[in-house]
Amino acid sequence: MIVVERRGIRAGVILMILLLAFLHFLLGPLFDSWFFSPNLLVCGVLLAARQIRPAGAASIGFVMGLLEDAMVVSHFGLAALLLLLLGYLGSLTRDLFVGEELLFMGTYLFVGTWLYEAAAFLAIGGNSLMFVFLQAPLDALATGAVGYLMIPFMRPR
Amino acid sequence: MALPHERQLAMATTLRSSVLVPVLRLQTAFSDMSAMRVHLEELRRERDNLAARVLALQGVDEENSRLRALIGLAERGDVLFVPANLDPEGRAGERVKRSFVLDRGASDGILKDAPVVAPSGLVGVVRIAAQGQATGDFWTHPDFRASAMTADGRVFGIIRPQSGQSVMVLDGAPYQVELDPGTEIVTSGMGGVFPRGIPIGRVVEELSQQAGWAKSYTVQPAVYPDAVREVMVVIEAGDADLTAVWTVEDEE
Repeated sequence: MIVVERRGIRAGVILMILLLAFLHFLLGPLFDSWFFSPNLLVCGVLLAARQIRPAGAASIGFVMGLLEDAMVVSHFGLAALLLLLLGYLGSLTRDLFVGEELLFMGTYLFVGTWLYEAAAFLAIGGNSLMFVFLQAPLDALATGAVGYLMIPFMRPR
Repeated sequence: MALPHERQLAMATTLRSSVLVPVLRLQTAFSDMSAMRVHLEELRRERDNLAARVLALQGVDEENSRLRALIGLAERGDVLFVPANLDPEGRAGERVKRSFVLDRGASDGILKDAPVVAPSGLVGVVRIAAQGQATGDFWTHPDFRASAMTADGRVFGIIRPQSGQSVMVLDGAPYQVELDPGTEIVTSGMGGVFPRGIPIGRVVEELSQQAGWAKSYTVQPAVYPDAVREVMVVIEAGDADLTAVWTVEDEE
């Protein structure tokens, strides 16, 4: 029974990541024209990290990061590195916080996305406080909202 | 991140030509659709205007072909350049774009190190050419260098981007020569990458920080990465001097 449940969760996680990654790359040009937008790739990695071990989450983060790097070309490797770390750290939170309580998941997605965007921005030499303290938090809020919609995928059916 | 820049671009191009192909095709289709919708009305208006002009310009096309053959511009315009659409790529919050992707590639004759130009001047250089697409760097990329000279050929130097800004720096100008603000800078043709005569920009002022017996100047670029979408890729330049291409355009 437990094995079947785990398989269900794993299938849900894979499906969710593929869907979010596809939408992230497809809608990228549209999102770029908005002042703030959800980061679906980070959302996928963070949600997946809550379901799998640190090594697996880091691997998923690395692969997703490589795809992101291939799409944006500039500063190749930055997203792979940051998403690898994010996946790893996200998976470690499983030992600290158990379950999918909505307030926790919202905070988790918000903090994860904000950290990723701020770190990426600072790494490319950005120095705009507006991005770090306004645009990135708004992106993180939007990502949290999308994350809530994806939580049902994580539950065994 | 520790990989050499060209390896990074090669990896990006490989992923873009394999796993990411479906997404990129869909992106292009959506982008074309939205662009078409926006421009439909505009095109209708232009069509009506053009129809009227075509009637007035009958015979000019034939005359143009004859004159181009006469002065040797046919080859310069049709063989040396390949038109391409340029897509600047960058991360969220990245103020100055550094790299781009072209919708033409090796199958169109584009090779590694091919110069990319726009009607106003130098845009950048192709780094990786794959089937149907090419990846390159704008002049804003920290690795970008071009051998340059003043339009009158009096002063030579090396053009590089000023870190994190949309401004260039001309290094290595002789100490005893003073360049006036507004002096036009073009490619010198030395180094074998950029043919001679492509406009780069205009001198703004002398840099206060000097080193050794050479001067440096800030240069206002002829082309800003954010403002360019349609470009020409130089595919067969050899030792050609392209000064006349831009001179003809300026005169027009």
